Amino acid sequence: MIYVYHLVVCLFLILFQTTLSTVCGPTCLYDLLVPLVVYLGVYRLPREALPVLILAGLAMDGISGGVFGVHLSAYLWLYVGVRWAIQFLHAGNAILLPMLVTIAVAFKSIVVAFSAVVVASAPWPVEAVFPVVSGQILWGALTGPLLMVALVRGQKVVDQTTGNFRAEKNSLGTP
Amino acid sequence: MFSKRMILIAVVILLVAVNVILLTITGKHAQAPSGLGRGALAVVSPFQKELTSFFQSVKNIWNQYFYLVSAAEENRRLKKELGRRSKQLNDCVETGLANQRLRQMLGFEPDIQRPMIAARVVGRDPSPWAKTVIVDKGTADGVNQSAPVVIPEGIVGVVVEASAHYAKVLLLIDPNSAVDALVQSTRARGIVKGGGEGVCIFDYVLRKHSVSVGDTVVSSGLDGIFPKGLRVGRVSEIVRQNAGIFQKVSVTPYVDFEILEEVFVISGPVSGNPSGAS
Repeated sequence: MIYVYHLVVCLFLILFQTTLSTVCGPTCLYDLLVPLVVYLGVYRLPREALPVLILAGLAMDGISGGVFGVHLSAYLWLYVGVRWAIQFLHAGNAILLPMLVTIAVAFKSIVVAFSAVVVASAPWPVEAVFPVVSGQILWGALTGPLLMVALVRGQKVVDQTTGNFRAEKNSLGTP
Repeated sequence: MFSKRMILIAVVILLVAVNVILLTITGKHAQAPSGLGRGALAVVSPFQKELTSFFQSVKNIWNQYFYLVSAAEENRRLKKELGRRSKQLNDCVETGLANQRLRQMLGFEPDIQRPMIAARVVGRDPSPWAKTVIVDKGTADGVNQSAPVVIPEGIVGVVVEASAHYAKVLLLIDPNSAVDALVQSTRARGIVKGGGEGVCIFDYVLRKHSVSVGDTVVSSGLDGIFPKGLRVGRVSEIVRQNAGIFQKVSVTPYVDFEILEEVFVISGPVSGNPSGAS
């Protein structure tokens, strides 16, 4: 059930940023999957998180015209970084968690910008980096933590539904 | 000899280096390796199509029933414009017929008309660093890799990847795009390259060639992808430096890439440059 939840959320976020969010313009268009990666890093086990991360990375790289593999790499490194960070940080802290999301958005923005400016065969001008990356970080800082909270709430609903279903099934099974 | 921490740091550095090398290799190719891009298109694009259709119908309802305040004024303006264009069209038809007769007399080969496939934009690139769109026509509809994509206003881009029912189009404004082009009035030649944010760079235009702000730039047909005479954009800025043999020309595309909804993909084989045509 939780895998289905993760995959549905992942698909919804990809669809949102490729079909609906064009009204915002490129500067605020940060990768909405980053809060999902942070959520997976903080709250889920690697066996639950890694398949979703790999599928999300491949899907994003497949539909994007940028350097292939940059999204997948960024998600995996981000996940490793979040897992490392929560060894020292209290994950439920109201200040640290938004900060973690903002840092993650900044990391992702910088990695993708680096790939476009340095690694790509036809690189972008370096002057274009600052406005785009700063806009993404700002929007990531403002909306990323909210998205993260929504993901946690969604997970709780899924867990509760699954729990109720199991309890119902068990009660029907016992005479 | 080495502490556990040092080994861990070394492993991380090594992994980062390998990662950067792999990205550098994939960065040299426009296509995703082993059909992974086509697989992602096949999985994600049907959902994009449904969602786009839904929002398009909502938008249409708004435009057709609620947003009619300026329709009468627009109607009057368009009727006036139509009269002017009808006269212009008549002149063009006359010129076309004269051109056809003269070409026949000189023994020029007739231009080959290539079929056009209408497609709808169903998705955009998730990254601001890549200017691509996904359209709802693929190889099953006759859309192949390297097919040019246009709209009546001008060139949109080129198909870089195609699955059975969807295709990825690299837009003209992407830095990876390039179109062999010439200034319509003076025939000054160069290469139009994507400049990223809504503008293009007209490279390799010789300083001795006359170019003015406002000139129309059209495709030359020499790149083997775009047919000759398609509108690319309007010259918006010219910088003639003291040194160097080229001038720096900026071109603003005629196509507004932000509101792109429907496009035409030109299919079929690339027509050769008609003999004698320049």
